[in-house]
Amino acid sequence: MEGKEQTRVNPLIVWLFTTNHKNVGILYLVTSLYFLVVAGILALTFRIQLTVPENNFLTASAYNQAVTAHGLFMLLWVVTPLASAFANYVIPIQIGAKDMAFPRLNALSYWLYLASGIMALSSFFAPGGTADWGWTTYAPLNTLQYSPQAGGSLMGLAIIILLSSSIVATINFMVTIFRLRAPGMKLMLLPLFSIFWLVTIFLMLWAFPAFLAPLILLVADRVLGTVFFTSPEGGALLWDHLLWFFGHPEVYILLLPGLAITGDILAVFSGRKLYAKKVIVGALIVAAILSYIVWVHHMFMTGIHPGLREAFNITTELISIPFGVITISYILTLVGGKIRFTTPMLFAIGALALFIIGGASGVFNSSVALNFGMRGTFWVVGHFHYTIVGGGITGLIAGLYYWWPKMTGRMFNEKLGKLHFIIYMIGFNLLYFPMHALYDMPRRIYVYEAATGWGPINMLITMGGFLFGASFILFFWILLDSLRRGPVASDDPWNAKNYSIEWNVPSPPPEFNFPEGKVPVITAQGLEFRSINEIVGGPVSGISARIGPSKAPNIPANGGTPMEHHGPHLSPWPFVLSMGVAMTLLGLFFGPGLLILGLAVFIGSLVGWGWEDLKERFHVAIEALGEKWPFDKVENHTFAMWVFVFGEIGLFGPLFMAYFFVRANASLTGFAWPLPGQIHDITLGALNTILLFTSGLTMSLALIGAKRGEEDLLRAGLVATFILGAVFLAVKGFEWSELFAEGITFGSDISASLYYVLTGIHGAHVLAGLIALIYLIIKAYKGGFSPHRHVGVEAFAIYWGMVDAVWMFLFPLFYLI
Amino acid sequence: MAAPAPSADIWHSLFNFYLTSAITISAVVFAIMIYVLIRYRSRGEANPGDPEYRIGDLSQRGSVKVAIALTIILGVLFLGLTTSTFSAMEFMEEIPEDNPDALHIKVLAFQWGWRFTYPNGKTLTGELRVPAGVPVILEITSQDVFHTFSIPAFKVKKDAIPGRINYAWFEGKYAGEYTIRCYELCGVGHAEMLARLLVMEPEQFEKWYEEFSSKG
Ligand code: HEM
Ligand SMILES: [Cu+2]
Ligand SMILES: [Cu+2]
Repeated sequence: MEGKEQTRVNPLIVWLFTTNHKNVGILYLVTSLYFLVVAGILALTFRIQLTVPENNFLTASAYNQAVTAHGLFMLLWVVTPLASAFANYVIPIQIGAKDMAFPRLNALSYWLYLASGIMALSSFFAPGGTADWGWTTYAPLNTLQYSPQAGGSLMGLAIIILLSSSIVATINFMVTIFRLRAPGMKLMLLPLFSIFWLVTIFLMLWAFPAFLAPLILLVADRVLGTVFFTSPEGGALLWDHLLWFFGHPEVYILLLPGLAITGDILAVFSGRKLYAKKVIVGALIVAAILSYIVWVHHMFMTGIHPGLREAFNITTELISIPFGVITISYILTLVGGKIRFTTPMLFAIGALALFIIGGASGVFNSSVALNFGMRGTFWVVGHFHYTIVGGGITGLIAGLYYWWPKMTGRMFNEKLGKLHFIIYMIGFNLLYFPMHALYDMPRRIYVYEAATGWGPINMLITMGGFLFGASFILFFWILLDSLRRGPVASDDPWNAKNYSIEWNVPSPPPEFNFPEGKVPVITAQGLEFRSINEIVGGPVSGISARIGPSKAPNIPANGGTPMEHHGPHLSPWPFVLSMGVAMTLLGLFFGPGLLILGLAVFIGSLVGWGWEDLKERFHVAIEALGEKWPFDKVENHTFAMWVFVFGEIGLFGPLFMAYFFVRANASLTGFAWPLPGQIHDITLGALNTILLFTSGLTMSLALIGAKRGEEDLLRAGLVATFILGAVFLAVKGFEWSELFAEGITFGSDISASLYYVLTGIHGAHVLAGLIALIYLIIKAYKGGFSPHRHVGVEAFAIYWGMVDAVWMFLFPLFYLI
Repeated sequence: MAAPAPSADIWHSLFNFYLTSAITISAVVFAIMIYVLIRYRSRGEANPGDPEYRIGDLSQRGSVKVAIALTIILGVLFLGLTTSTFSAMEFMEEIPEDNPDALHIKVLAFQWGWRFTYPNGKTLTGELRVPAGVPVILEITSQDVFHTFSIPAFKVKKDAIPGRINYAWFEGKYAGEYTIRCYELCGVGHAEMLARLLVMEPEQFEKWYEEFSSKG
């Protein structure tokens, strides 16, 4: 029924306004492949430059920009978004849900991703070109003094938007995977891809905000003139610690989706269960936790205390153990099977083989002593391409072949697929293996002398690069050819219907994934589709249906949604909002007209989104009926907010660490930290503390009012909270203006920089809270809340509590000590 | 051919040890993998038969004993490698401060080059001259951005960080000419941030150093 309705909507509108997880997945797929091509071409240009010694195909500046953009694009705009494409498309089906928990936020993640990509591409055209400091962006080369080009700042902002997009996606997936599983779908029953993705987003939840923190400091340095990375108290090592604290979890974020797909495919095409799945998952969790305590292995040469280095040497070696266990379990999975060498299977085997080589070279890197040779050389370049491209991207390519028939309804040419595999493997190894022989050649040099003898190996590498590039031309040809005239795919072309749910539904699946009016139910006998009434009506035999009739969501009998204003699954606001963000930020660099237009669009989209909510125009009923362990007790929005707060810890944690790092260094460099009361007025600080604390109490009262249905209390509480928050901001503004009048600005010294940026970030949180409060107040006055429906108030109370809590740290740090 | 510095000797023997272990382990793993792939390949293509897995099946394949054994084997292997690293690290990092003969040099990295200051207070830019067979202690820092000091042939490397001093040491065994390079991207001049290291016969060095010190 919706299908017919949808065909009447202009297809362009569908793609722009879609919130359906499968459409969003395809958008991710196309966009990430586009960036793969861009980043690949960049790589080929600098490989041409290195083919022979003393070449002058590129200038040093062009080389540095190309190598920087290549790294950033591949790491941030290609690998994870490509994995997200599959996660979006497949995971809701694999867990047995009709869509993501928050379809509009899902669309928002995608459009912010695209917005950030447009910004990153535009940075090439900003005056002076784009960032040229290498993807690692070491300080203080990344500051205005040494890299004045505006494109660098734009790239920084682009990454900030990209990370925001990922954080939104993380929250959405967290709620989806924990709370929308089909009845009987225990976490351990999920395919590896879903399980590994869950671990991946746990890593993202702390790693991405941890990268956001130094980027905010960097952009502040470059735009506002703060001195985080130019002062000796912060400087190079502050950046190093923050970057690599993010950096190591990041490499697993890049690897895990591909590694997971590899495992699933090995099982499917050998017809065997995964060997020791529990051990695999356990090893994965151990590795994920360890990944937060190995970052110093990227800093072995910085002169850090030797004891620390030995400790990190050991943790790094330890992390090889779980990966070794996973690798061996994968191989053992095949034992006793009937292995079918299809294209996806070949790529999965290839991914495993390449990952083993990458793991082996990683063990060399973990040695502090060997690092005297390896650090900063092509050996490291070889190592991480074997792991990330070899293990990660090869696995994702296997996944694309595997799910392609599901996503498009078309088969591809197997013979050409196998040819692709052969060219891919030869090209890859010709490209990356010889890099290990260049363990004396520095990374990121645009030219080298003939006397070094590096010429012939570089020639080989470039040839491999072009062969590898060619394999992608064939790849895209295979895909296009399949779209054009590939044979129609059955529901289950790989004989995988016993492995995961997506092979039990049509190719491509209908809008809400499952047969009309039915949902998947997992029992000890296997998968069944049962009618919704059967489940909502009461406990179903063999499963734990925890939802009683009273809490049962109102799902129309057709399993879809009632026809809404925008048609099913459509909302313009994620798209409009993201474009507003992009225009605003691009306007900073390309003209105030764009800036003003962007701001108008942005504010308009916030209003529009809020309006859509108030009018309940967008409603896709996706409340699940099944497994929610271990988060049975919370509601989706509240859970989402808790996840968000967790992510905020990942942002404020590193910011506070920066504060302590600077304070500790200040005592070494002899920097005179201002005494309490010397600069910041303790009385005003205390006043603000009281204001915020009181607003916490009024917010609690509002929540009590909402829960009891006492509308007056709710309204009064919300309004009081708003006023207190607004006064807080006003006092803050007064303090800032006083300081400015005294001549204390962003860049006066490191203590001023810290003060402005940390309280500024906190102030921005207060401001965002006030905007949300306006929405809640309007809704409260329209009678939009009841004792049963007040998740908005509850979620906001959690948010506001966090904003309070952060201030309780900021106040003593800046006013009292 | 023996390496030109004790640090490089140690490094190469450690590297060879890692390389031998890595090749052995990977060879075993690859051999098993290839054997398994051939042995269990599907013969009758048409009907792959019923797979062993089933949605909803929580029962596990494989044994915990294998996993534990595997963890222990891998642990012993990796930690064995690590201990061999630590002794090498001690040698490479132990600054011979107590050695009265040691030559102390201050190294300043800048965009884009290297400046070396001798105990006599005089500086050389783009060239470092030292006597063979004598430990040289380096005090490394940077005047602008993050650089990495290295003598690749000696396997000596340390970051040059503004506002910080890092220490490193080396000893050239024989007279000869070597290259000093930067190993951290430091701007457009990074590729050309080279200096010449001249290891001299001790007598020759003495002679040169005297002249160098007395020059105006
Ligand atoms: C067997 C386990 C591994 C070990 C012991 C290991 C160890 C290391 C070490 C010590 C470094 C620093 C090298 C240096 O700069 O001198 C490094 C670099 C790197 N590793 Fe690994 N690694 C392992 C697996 C992985 C995996 C699975 C990935 C990604 C999926 C990965 C990605 C990277 C990247 C991207 C870098 C370079 C960062 C840069 O400097 O740009 N590694 N690895
Ligand atoms: Cu790492
Ligand atoms: Cu450099």
